[in-house]
Amino acid sequence: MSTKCILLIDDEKDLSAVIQTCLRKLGGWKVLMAQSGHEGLQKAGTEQPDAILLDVMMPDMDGFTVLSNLQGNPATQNIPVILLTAKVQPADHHQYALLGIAGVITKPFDPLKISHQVAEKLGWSSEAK
Amino acid sequence: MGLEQQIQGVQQRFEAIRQNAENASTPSQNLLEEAITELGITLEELQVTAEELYQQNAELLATREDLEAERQRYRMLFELAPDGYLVTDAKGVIQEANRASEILLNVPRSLLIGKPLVVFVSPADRPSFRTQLTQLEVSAVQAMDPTSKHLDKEQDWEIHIQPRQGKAFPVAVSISVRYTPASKKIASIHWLIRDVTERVQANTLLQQSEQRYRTLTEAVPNMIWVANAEGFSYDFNEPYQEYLGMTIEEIRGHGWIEAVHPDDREVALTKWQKSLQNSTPFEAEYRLRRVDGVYRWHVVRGLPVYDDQKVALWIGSCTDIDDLKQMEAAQGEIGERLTLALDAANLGTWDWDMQTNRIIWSGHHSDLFGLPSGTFGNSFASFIDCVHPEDRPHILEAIESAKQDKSSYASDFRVIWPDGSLHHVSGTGKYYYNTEGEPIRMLGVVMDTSNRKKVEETLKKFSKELEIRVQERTQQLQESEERFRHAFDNSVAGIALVALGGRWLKVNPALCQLLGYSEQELLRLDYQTVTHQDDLEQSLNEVYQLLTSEIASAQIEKRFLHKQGHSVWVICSMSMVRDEQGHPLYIVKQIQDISERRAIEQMKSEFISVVSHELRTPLASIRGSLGLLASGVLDDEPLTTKQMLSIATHEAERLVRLVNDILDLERFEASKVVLEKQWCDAATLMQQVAEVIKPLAEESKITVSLLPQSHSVPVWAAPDRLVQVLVNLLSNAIKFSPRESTVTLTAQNQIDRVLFQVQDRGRGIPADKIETIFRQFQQVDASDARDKGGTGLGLTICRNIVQKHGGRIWVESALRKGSTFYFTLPIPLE
Repeated sequence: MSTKCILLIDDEKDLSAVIQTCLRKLGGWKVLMAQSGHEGLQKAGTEQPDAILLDVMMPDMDGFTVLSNLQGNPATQNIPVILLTAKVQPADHHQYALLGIAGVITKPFDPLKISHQVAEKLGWSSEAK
Repeated sequence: MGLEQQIQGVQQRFEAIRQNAENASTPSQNLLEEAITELGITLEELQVTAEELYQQNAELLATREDLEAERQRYRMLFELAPDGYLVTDAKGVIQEANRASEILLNVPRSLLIGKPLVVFVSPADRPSFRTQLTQLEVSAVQAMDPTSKHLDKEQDWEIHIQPRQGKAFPVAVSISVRYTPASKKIASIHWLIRDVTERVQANTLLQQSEQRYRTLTEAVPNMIWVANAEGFSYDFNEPYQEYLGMTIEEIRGHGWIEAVHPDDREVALTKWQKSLQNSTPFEAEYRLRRVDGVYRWHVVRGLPVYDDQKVALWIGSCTDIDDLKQMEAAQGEIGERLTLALDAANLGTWDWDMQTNRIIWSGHHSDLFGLPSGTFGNSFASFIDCVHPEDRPHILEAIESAKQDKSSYASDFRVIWPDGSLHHVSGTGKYYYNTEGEPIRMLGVVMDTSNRKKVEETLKKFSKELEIRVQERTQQLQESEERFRHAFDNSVAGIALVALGGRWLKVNPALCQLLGYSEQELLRLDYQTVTHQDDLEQSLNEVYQLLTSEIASAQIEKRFLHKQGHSVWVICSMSMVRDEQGHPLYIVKQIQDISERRAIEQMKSEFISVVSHELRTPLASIRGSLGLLASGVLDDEPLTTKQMLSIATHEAERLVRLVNDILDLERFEASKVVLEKQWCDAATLMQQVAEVIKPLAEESKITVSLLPQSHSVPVWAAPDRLVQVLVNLLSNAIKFSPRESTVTLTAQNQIDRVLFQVQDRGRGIPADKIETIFRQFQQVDASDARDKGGTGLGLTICRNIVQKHGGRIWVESALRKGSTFYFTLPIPLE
């Protein structure tokens, strides 16, 4: 079974590094990183990851715009997306439910559980070690 | 009792006495006495009888004398009778003749005796005369009454007598036949012969007259009848027969009376009998039954037709007056109704004859003028005397005016009754003019209007009260409406009346201003058109619930569309206005602009979101890195372990800065910051700042240039806060300047203020960000905070500090050329 590849789109370099480490070490997946929406869209198209972890609050192009673009592109529209967000307002959850995404992971997250959360939302069997 | 019977009775009684005597052995005294008594009685009876016989004899003699006298009288009558009287035998041979016969037959009586009567009959009538004579003989014998010497029935006929000389003339012959009962033969025939020449002539005339009548009656269309002198009606013309639908034979006798209405028969017959008795013209009105059974009123007249001063016949007519009767009845009804109407209306009528100046008043006038019936004078003066003096000129004027204008007269006036009470009366009238145009008559009515006047006055009073109430109510309503209008027009909230279909019925200025439309423009639109599409369903649902009374009122937050196209958030309060029956009329809406509140809420929400993100992001990194380290999964990766530690440290510092800035900012917002201002030298402080940020500048090989360098610039400020502002601006300038460039910091004394400038050669700020970069977390680029180690709150804090000093801060920038941040600090006068 080939290793799953996840594309992480987040402008926070430190946080991206932590998440990448968590998913690599605990999920056993390959993690590609993009630090902006534009870069994320580009890599999603070229790399065709198995899933995308997408931060909502990003400069220039926010997570919703990136998602819309991903869903509007036949090459990327079937890639499951999990949103990463620090927004916890109830209205936001209502909004997310309409987006056609695989799930939402709220910041701050438990580094030891995030790989389980990702696997669960994507329906993957956890490969955590 | 006859004499013979008496004698017989006496004989019987004496025979009884004799037998009693024979039977007795010795004649007794009693028997003798009885015989003597009976003898005495008998003698008395015989005397009475003898008297009766004498008396009867005397009566017989007297009767004989009377008979002779009677005979002589008859003889004389026979002789002197004006008619011819003849006695013949059965063959008609004259036995006796009176004097009149001599004259009639122009033959001396002596020559008449023994001659057959037939020779004096005109030749033309002789055969019939003989036949009649023979017939008479036969029929007389057949009809003969055995107990009588006379014929029951006398025979009458007319024949013509031919006198010995002269012309034949008509005679009426009456005969009386005497016969001999034993032989059953005619003993004699008595002839009474009367000259009827005149009567025949009269009859002829009468027949001619009758013919004329007949012709006339048949010719006229009226129903004509003819009756004889005794009242027996015997002729009816065609129209009569047609009307009754009866033949002349059926009408004759009692037929005509049967056609008279049963109720009218008695009157008709009584009048007819009276006319017959008195020979006076007959006239009666009664109903005659037409052939179809309908009774119609007729006036029936009959006139006696005289013949020689005697009524010979009656001729009459029947004229149909049914239509007239009905008309009369109708007129009577109308008249009755009119009278009733006048009575009911308490109206009096008057008729003023101008020529005689006499006025005829109807009965009601007396009542209207309070006078006893019949005492009202028949002049204008008597009328005007009853009128209140004040009203008299008015009446005279009205009458004169009507006369001049040939118009109707009408006048209301008061009448003073004899008891002094005043009564309101209304009079109207009309002039009638002759051919010369002069008024000759005036007719009119007078009506009591006292009650009407009372009602009018009451009504006037009520009307006035009502008017006052209406005025009061109107004023209240006007005031209320004024208040409402004032409130409506001046309300800061939008108020509108909306039709059930959504059309704006009335809108106030506040609503117009809120939506950017003029009143006229808005009234042409409807509620739906200016409602944001996303809120339309909810709005209509609320209206539906109001309509169905599910809710009494509703309040929703929604968006209207401004004329310019943007949304305007409002709170819309709605309530339904219904009529008395509860039917919905329209909706009252109060609309309050909550755009600002919504914007603040939005900002607040966004701020919380941003702060949350800004806080959670470093926390996530710290927790994640430390969590990995603590779990031991990185024990075999020392480099990663070191990286995670570095991340934890770096993000912890970031978090500290952020928290400090937030707290600092919050203190400014809460006005908790107290500036301890003092005179200080800006140049000195600028040197300190340069020292602080020297490492940062050296890192990017940036030259920091300070002006002035030689003289001091006194400034009234809290030195720590001024340093904070300068460090913030200078570090920003350094962060965004290209390597090996120069950043200049200047302080310039400007009489009442000190102007500080921080100029860089950086990338510049886009025009749309110039105003927003001083707001929280509004960096030109969101990643700047992370990349440049900022919190996104630096400039906001700077602005707060400068503003707290009473100064102003702004920026001027050109893209890719650099930016210059300015701020001023005022110099106090003292």
